[in-house]
Amino acid sequence: MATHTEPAPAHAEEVHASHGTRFYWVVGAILAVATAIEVGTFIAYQENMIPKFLEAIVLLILTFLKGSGVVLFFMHLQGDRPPYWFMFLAPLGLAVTLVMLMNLIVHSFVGIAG
Amino acid sequence: MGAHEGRPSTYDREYIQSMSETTTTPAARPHYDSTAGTSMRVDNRKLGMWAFIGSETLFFATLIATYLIYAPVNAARPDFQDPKEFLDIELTTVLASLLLASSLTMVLSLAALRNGNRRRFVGWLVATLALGLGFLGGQAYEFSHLYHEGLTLESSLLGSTFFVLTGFHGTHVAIGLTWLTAVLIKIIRYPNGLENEMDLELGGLYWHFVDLVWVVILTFVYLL
Repeated sequence: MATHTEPAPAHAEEVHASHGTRFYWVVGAILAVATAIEVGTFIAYQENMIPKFLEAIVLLILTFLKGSGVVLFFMHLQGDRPPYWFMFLAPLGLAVTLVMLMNLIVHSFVGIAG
Repeated sequence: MGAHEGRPSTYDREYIQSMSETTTTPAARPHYDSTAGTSMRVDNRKLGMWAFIGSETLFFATLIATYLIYAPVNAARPDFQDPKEFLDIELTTVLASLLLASSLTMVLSLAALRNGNRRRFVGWLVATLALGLGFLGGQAYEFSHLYHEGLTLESSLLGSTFFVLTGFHGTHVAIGLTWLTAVLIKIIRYPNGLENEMDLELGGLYWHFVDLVWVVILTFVYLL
């Protein structure tokens, strides 16, 4: 491996522009509002104001949005190099497929625990 | 610490001093290219961290899948315990808010460190630790409350799957708090270390992932 003795140029590969603190506050506020909507949706279902399928759809969409916000902006994946994207998205895709397949296959098989 | 793989140690005072002297503005800080010598021009440690996060994603996916699969099985058994009767949405909302807030303070801490604002970096990181401790305390209270109500590891499939899933998550939170505390102490001890930003970023990635897992657990365990 080559010996490195000189300082990096001003724009080294790993130095990516960070957002300002105000941006992070805005993202945080959006996540907080999304959480409040999630809880509100849950309460609305408990009070029989909305059907189950609507609750599920709203909650899944909000979970996806919140997760995306955390990954893209807080974990700085947005604007990061492709290898980082692959390292996260490949297992995530596998994980989501796993959860969905397992639920589809055994969701009504109540004898699974003996 | 000695040099590693031909690169000068980032704790080497002479190296740090020489790097500091190459800067021309007081605000500029020495930096070295951590991607040098790599084929994909990515930092190995950061790539490894994302790989670890990928593996943890699969780990928690299996626990969540187990919880979801056993939910109808639990309902069909004589020792059935209804999660809606045990799980408290008010406390859970507070816990989720604490963890989300800690994610915000974590990224603010990293931004402050990158901007060279040491006081804000320490303040935001300490806030992150405090919020994380608050989450752990709330979860400990929830666990003890559930045990008193009769939901235990052995009481039903709900108890087994719930406590294993949330217990592992809580363990990850505790590990994250330890990690961030170590990073805080290290950066305070070596304020001019060239690795400081990467150290904090790596710890922050782990912390944000822990928050991400709770976002999913909140939906699939407590709300749906």
